[in-house]
Amino acid sequence: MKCTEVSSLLVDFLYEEMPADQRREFLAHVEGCSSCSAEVKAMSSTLGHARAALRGPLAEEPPPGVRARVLEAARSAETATAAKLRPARVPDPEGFFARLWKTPWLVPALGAAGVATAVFLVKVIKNPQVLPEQKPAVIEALTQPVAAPQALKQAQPRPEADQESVAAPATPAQGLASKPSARSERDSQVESKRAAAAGKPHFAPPDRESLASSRRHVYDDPLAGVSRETRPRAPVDEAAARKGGGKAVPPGDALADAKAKRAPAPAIHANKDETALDDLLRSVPGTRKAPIAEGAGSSGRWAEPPPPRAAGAPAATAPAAAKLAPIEKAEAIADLEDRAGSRVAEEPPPSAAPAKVQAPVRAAPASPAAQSEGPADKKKASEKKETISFGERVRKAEKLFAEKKWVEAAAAFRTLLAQAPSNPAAKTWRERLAAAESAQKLGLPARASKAVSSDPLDGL
Amino acid sequence: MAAYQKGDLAAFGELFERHEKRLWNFLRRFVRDKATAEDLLQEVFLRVVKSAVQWQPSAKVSTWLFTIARNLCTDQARRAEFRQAESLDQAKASEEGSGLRRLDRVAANSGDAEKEAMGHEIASLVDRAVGELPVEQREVFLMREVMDMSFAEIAAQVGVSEPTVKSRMRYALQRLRSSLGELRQTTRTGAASAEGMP
Repeated sequence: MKCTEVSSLLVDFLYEEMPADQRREFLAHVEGCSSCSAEVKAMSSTLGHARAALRGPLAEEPPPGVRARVLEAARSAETATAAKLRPARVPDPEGFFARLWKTPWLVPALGAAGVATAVFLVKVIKNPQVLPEQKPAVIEALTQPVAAPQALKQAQPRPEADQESVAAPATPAQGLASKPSARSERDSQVESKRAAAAGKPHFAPPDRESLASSRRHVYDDPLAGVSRETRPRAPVDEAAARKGGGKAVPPGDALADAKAKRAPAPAIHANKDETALDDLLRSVPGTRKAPIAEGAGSSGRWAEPPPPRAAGAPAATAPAAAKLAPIEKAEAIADLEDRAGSRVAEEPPPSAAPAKVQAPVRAAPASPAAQSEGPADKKKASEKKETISFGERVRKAEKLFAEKKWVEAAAAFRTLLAQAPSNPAAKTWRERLAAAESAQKLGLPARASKAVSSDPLDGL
Repeated sequence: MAAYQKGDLAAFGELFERHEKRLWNFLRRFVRDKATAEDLLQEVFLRVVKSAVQWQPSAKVSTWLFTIARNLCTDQARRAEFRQAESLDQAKASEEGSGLRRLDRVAANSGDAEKEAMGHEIASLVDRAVGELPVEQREVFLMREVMDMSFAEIAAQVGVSEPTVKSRMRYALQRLRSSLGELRQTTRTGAASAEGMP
């Protein structure tokens, strides 16, 4: 071992952190080297003195003030920490229901629900038309809302149910209101007979059907039998019409159209087949109310609310609608075709056609008085017929084309193209017109009739 | 420490008692100024109080305490380079040569007054010599001699290798040796002059 190594290993030797063999080697060198021996002795002495001083006179007790201050600080910190943590540690005294009870909307909502339930119960249970034996069923239905319709069905067998196209009652009360009791009818008849015999007027209590119809009347369209075009219109908003691309639409009708567009299209609109059209026409009983308004439950289309009446115009009533029955078929065809084709098309005929279509709509009579046969009414009726005949003309042209009457078919298509050149079906009409003209020139059966779809409403 | 974390204040008192003396001596020797050492000791434990929530049981409490103390001392030493304040604990300028402090002038209870006086002189020399060591050597020397830390622990604490720690220790001992040699020489000179006096 060299002297430099002894110097570097001096600390390990003094603190006894040297391996035994290395220590032996170290001591062997120190014993033989006087300088290294003096160095080791001096350093060992210095360390001894320093250690003695540090552990003797220099070893002081910490000042007592520090201890007091530190413990005080720890105490205050602990208090502060405890105060900070206390809200988190303390369980929430307000439980879920307490918090729910503090919800601002809960009390009004519960109150409203309670009032509604009370009114509903009073109306149903205190209904004089409900027979005593039916009350338990009603109460049972009310207590078991899910099984209510079945319970009512069991409690009130109704043979005439298939005669009416009224949908299943939405609530037990409606169901009860719409189902007349045989006993009450019998009693009413007996009473009226007695009154007639006594010569006194008899005020029979209204039966449930009349009550139900009066309730439905609120939602039914009183002009349901009247054509849409002949319904009274509210004043047209011209500014809105200008904004909306020139088509003036009264607000009420715009709402109805929007509803019709938003509502799922019934089968009547989607069906383009002519036979389906005829079937639908056959299914129309006396007025057009049945497929459109009353078919709410079955066809999925709900009765539309009545459009806003024109100022000063009296409300149209059921007799007024009944007067329109003779033109039902033509109107129905026009209406269906309008819905299926030309009306669905966004662009009406640009030139005179829109005026012809829109004019009768605006000037449609709204009152029974307006149904009187004046010259103006005749003019309006003729305009209406013209309006109606556009769809008929389309069908006629298609029919002529299918029957290979080339001359008539070409003329019909020419007329259609002149009236509605921008109609979506105009392309088909042009093709058929060309086919008809070529077939006419050649005197051959038209091949285009096979190429083009045979469905007359296909182009629409 | 775990008990104090749970809010036991008595556990903190026990912790303080266990470590305060060694920490105090370390601080006292490191900064040499008693008031500063007192402030630093208080600061060490206040930091413990503040950071008790963050303490992990895997860490050794003594190591954590000494780390705080060492960091405080290092900062204090840096500040002291720019601000050399005179302390009451330090020797007065007039008594600079003698190295006596007020503490040294307190009469000892021991019967061997000469030996006691010599011990105090050596202690004051050691104290002064330690205080004059560079910070790196001083902290290594005090960690080893006051805090009884191994060289490996010191190396981990300081962030240097173990041979570097030992090297710093060797330099520190050499400085102390020279300081004590001056004392020895002064003592011999003083004794010789006293013998030569009539």
